[in-house]
Amino acid sequence: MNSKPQHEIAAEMATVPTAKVLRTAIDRINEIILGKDRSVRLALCCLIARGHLLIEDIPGVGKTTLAQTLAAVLGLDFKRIQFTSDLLPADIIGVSIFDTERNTFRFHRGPIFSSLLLADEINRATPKAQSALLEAMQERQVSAEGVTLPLPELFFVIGTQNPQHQIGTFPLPESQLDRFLMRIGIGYPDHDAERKLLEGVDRRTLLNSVEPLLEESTLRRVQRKAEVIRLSPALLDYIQALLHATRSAPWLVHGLSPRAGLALSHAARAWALLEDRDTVLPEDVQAVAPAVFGHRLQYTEDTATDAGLGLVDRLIRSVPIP
Amino acid sequence: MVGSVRLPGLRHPAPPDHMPSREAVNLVLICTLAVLALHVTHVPLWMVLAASCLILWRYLIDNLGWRSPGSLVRMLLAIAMMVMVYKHYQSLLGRDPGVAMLFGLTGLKALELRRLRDYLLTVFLLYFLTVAAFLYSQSLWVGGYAFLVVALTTLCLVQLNQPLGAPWTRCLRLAGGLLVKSIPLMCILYLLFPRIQGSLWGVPIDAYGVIGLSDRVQMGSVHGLIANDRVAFRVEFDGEPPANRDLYWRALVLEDTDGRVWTRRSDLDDDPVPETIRERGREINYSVTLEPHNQRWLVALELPTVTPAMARRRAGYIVEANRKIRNRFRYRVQSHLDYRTGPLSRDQRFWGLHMAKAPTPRMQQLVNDWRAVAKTQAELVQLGFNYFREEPFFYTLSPGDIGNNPVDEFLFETRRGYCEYFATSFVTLMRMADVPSRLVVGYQGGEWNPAGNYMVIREFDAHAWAEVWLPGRGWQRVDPTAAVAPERVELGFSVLSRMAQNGHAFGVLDVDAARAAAQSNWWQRGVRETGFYFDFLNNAWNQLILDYDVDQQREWLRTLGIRTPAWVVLTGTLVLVVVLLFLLMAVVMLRPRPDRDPVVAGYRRFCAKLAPLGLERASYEGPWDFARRVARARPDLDGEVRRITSTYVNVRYRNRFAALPVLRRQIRQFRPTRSGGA
Repeated sequence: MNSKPQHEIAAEMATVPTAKVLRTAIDRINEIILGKDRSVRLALCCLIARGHLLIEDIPGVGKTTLAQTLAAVLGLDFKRIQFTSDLLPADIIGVSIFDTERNTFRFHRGPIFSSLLLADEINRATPKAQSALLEAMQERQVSAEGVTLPLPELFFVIGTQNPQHQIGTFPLPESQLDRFLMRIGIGYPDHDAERKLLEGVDRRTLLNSVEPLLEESTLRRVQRKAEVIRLSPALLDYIQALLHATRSAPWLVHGLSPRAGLALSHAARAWALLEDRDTVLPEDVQAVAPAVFGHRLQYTEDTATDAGLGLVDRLIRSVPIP
Repeated sequence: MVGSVRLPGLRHPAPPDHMPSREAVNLVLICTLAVLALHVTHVPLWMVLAASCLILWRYLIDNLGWRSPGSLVRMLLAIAMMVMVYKHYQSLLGRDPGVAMLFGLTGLKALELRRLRDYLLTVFLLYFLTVAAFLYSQSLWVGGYAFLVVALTTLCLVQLNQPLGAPWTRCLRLAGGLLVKSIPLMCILYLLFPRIQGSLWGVPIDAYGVIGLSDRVQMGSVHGLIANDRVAFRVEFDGEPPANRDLYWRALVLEDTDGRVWTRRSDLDDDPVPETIRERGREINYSVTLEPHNQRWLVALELPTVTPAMARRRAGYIVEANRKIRNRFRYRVQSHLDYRTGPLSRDQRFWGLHMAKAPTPRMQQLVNDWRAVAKTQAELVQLGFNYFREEPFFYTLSPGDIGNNPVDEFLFETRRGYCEYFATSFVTLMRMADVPSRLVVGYQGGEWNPAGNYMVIREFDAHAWAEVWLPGRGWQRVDPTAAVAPERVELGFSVLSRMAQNGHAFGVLDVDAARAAAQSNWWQRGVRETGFYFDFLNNAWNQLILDYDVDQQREWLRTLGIRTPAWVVLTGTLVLVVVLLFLLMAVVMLRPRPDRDPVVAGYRRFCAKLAPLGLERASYEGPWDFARRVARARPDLDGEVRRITSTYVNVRYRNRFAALPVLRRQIRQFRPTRSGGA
């Protein structure tokens, strides 16, 4: 994928202002993933905030395509693992094979040593395999055969899972879900987008023609830039108010952890950067909150689901902006 | 400052002991002068000068770079001050030397102001000195001035505690807020603080000595009162006030005399019981507010028929309080101007004819002449009265000296005097003619205050007249002064004094001429009318504020349901109420107040201006989301809303505090119309 002849374009992008880089990237992705601007932005946001992304949706809406497009446009080293019930940790991490020539065991790196790893149908694998991945996601390093190997500085996992057909699956426990910064859905395309999709070329073919827009260093620059986006005390008040609300709301099983708050602030910063601002506004928090909080919160059983309003939206509406 | 606004650009909070700003220093000096002015009337002049010089010195040190005196010099000054005070008062203890010492040391402290601590100490000293002024006077004027001074001192205190460079408006607002917050506390303390019987401070200044009428009268003794315009009492009538010539305010009756001095016989039986006063004509009901005089007599119009509570009628139809009047005393009386008293007791007759020494031959001759002519006692009295009218007697406030036999000398030689000269002589003559008679002292007339619809009687209205007993009619008033100077009785003394101001003599004019002579020019009239309003205010202050005493407090507490306001109960209530008040204040002050943030408050004002247009911001709505929604509904407001939102976001989320004034201005100028123009 990472065809080096394109390094000239990438070098050019490195000097262009962040905002323009990001805008171009989003436009490029939107050419392939039609009518899914918000999902695309959230995915990009997640990447800028150095978080892992969980896409939960039915098959065929473009989960894999999104991951591939992201990797292609951003010039990331892309690997894919199809999770199945017989997947072993070694299939993810790698395996030591005896090298007869040198008479030693040599570690063959598994697919996890990549910049963007797509873990397809993550809930189909056994907990053992799942935890091998999730541990690596958290630690950003891999321990194999008593050696600790660091993962690339840019390491981004997109997990997908199908919310339906839960038979024979191993749903991720809450503690594991917490490792994903965001969970997003993609949803059906709207009428026009779908027509375009039907008329147009196959997305996979299109994908092959995509040339990487950035190189890793540019993406790292963007990530560092997101870290210094200003988060004023007033906004910290707001984030804390949101966290506090989850802890006291009777309609939630449990409140959010400080890590969730941290995740929200990182994601909001990245979102502000995408919006070309140097400061986080309440709107940014509200934009990323459903993706960040959604998989971390749970309705109590007796709560009647309210009319069309998502759980996080309901939470946001209950907290005044201080 | 609890709950103070955290403003950008100011260092906050101030370090605890910094050098105050030049403005604060000058303010403290001005404030010191203002407080010292409260005491100028009773602190010795040299002390006033000394303290002023010290403050001036300090000013010169600050502004002209004079040298600051060393600690030795300051020490010597303090010792010198103490010695001077001791020499002046022969003591360092007590109210006067204490206040004088405090006064001087406050001036001296001006030289010692260096650190914030010194300034704060001075400020608290100033509060104390302000309170000390009430030891001398609690009048409306002192109270009002003290309030201003307290406000100024509080401003000093706030200014000193503010970080350098704090704007004046903020200091004023804070000081004003503090004063306003202290008002409920002040009211509670005023209502509930245990009252001591007597003056508020336990030092009844106004009743140190006997003031006003004395129960010892001799020729010339009332003279001291003539120049005294102190208010003796004020009267509010229920109906129309009687004419000036009927306003004889009876205070004391003097029966005994040694020929010079007239005194009261307190051992006499009471006069005939009230029933024998045959009341006729209309009754007059009125309230008297008597200034304290440290005696027991009360004044009442002749003759009082219903005496007030806490008082009783004594011999001579005078009304006597149960205790000495040491505080302003308000009571209600009823009088009848037209009266006949009953028969005379033996005692009364004896003292009504009492003579100290044998009359001189020419006096005897005079009385014998009358007796030869008169058939009845009433005619005798008339002859006596006519004698004063027809002979060349002069009413004057400056009679010459009089010798050992005052009545004789006055009747036949000097013939110049005022009320008590005429009254004592008349009574003496009547007694020689075997007509029971006695001397009555009190006040005559009064000045109507149209501002408050009450009458003011001052010390210079003091008067003496005679009373004779006639068979069938009882005691009758005879005022020989009226025979000599009718204008005194017809118009009252205040008119006469105006007449004198205009350069006219008494006793030479008839009533109308006197009235004309007393005509004032516009300036005098203006001064007098202003005086009425001042007296009205003063009277209201007295009645509403100063006269709140033990009894009124008890009554007030009774309405609250506290039946036995023992000292302990009262203190307990006071403490309880004050604690509750503080708790209430704490709750109010400590409650979360997002509005105190000027940025948030400003944004709320902005949203409030949009709310009436149906564009209400939801509490969870972000500023730009809201702005976009407004722009969708009202495209004409788009630009302005966008600008304000942008400034708000900059100030609130980007910490661009310097833009706060811009935000305020934009929001102030934002006036959305009800229907969109576009």
